[in-house]
Amino acid sequence: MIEINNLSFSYKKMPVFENINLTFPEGSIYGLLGENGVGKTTLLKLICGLLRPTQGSCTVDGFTSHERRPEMLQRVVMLPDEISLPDGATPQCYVNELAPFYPGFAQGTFLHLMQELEVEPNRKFKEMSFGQQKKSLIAVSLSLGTDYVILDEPTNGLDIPSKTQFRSILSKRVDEKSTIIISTHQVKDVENLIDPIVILNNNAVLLDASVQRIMEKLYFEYGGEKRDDAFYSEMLPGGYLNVIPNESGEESPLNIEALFNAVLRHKNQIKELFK
Amino acid sequence: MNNTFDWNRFCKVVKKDFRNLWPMFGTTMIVLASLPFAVWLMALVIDRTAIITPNVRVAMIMIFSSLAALMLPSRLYRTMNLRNEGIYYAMLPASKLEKFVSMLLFTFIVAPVVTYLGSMALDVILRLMPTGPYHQWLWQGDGGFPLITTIPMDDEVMPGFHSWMLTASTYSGLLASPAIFLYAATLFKKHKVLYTFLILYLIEFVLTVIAIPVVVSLVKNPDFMEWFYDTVFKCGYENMMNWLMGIVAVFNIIIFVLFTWMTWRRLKKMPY
Repeated sequence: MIEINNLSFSYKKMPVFENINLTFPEGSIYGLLGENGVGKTTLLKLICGLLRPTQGSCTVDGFTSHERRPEMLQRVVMLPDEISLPDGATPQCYVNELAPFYPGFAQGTFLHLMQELEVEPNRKFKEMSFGQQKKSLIAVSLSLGTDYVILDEPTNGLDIPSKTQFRSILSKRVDEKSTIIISTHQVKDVENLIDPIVILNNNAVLLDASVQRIMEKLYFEYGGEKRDDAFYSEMLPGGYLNVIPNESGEESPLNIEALFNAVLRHKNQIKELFK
Repeated sequence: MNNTFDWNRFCKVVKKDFRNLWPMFGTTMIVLASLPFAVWLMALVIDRTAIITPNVRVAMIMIFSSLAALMLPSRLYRTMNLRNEGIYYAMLPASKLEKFVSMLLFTFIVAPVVTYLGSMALDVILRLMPTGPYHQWLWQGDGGFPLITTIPMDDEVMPGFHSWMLTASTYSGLLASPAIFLYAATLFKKHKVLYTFLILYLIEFVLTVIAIPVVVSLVKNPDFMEWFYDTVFKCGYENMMNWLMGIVAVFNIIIFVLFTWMTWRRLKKMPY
């Protein structure tokens, strides 16, 4: 389990997080959402121990992240948004280099994922498009057998079929032992995949709730008139989409974009609702 | 599992660094090891009767090998301190100490020794040539076998001079310079070697600018000069040189320890 307790972090004098608390138990694909610059990547780096909190703590299975102990590093893999790869290397070379350090690595899984993502394991990175490089690294990250997979904007650069493949392999990958955290702007790419959803805003966590809980608290009304009491309304071809408090207890199909906008526009009310 | 240092895991780090050594630094090592050939060829073209003595060749090989030590960190660990690319290195499941020791091993031993052995092999080949400026084997120089040699001094120039003191200052210099460049490689994101050379040059320039008026004023002071000549006379020129070289050696060792420690601190605390 990843536990963040009373964590504060700032870049020099610019605060990014103030006293935040979060837990990421095993067996879920977390969606980390937020506007540009709210600290999504910073939070992922704090989890991986690449940054040191100014206050509070972040632990992975009890190991303090920023100490970056080998035992902790063996459990976590991170795929950053911007990737840099050795020109002459191939995905197979790259994975061969990493494999000895990860006891859970499975060559069969790697080859299977590469095949599923339609990338040749022995083709040089420099001969690949950005999307293919990204797919190779997704396959590498998922085949290392770590308990925690942290993906920063994983769908950036992927074409539409690749995004579908990505969703498919990720949903197959998650089990009781593993945790996947996805930070993304492209909420449509991970819709129906992420659960729970964490929304960050200036220095704080605005929402940290499972899809089930969101559905209990909010109702996504499609095709009606614009409602004044809605947290968020958006005009769609067949009428308005209104995000309103779920008073009837009925379930409605979740629209993450609308949820995100509702949370950002009515921070205090949403916080109160999910207390 | 020992979190600080585990021999098996350390071997994996070394193996990984060794795998990267050839694609990232192989060409540089080949070029550096082949530089004596350029000197050999130039000597042959300019003056067919020229002789390059083993002592000169040893010095040449040592300079090129130490250049390998200076340049290695900027290549093999190029991305180590970069915000995104460095993540791969930082998150490799090995302890910071294991990564650091491997870094020292490759900087201070592997890169210079491989370059040195390459140059030695090339020297043997060039010595076998029927013509050229190499008339003796490398080990036939005044100092003995080149790796463990003491640097010979001409007795007529400096009688009684303990060459081992010069050797100590030279070898300690071979530790100090790479230590500075290794630390600089953790600081600069681009042009690591160039920036380090420029900064060292700038420091030297500033020190020279400060030192010149001080030395001039001392030289113009008859009391000081009298004291200086008396001291040199009493102490003896050879002893004076031995002291100077000893001070240089101690200074180099301090620089080595200081910069190695600073690199370790930086590696431990480096943010990404």
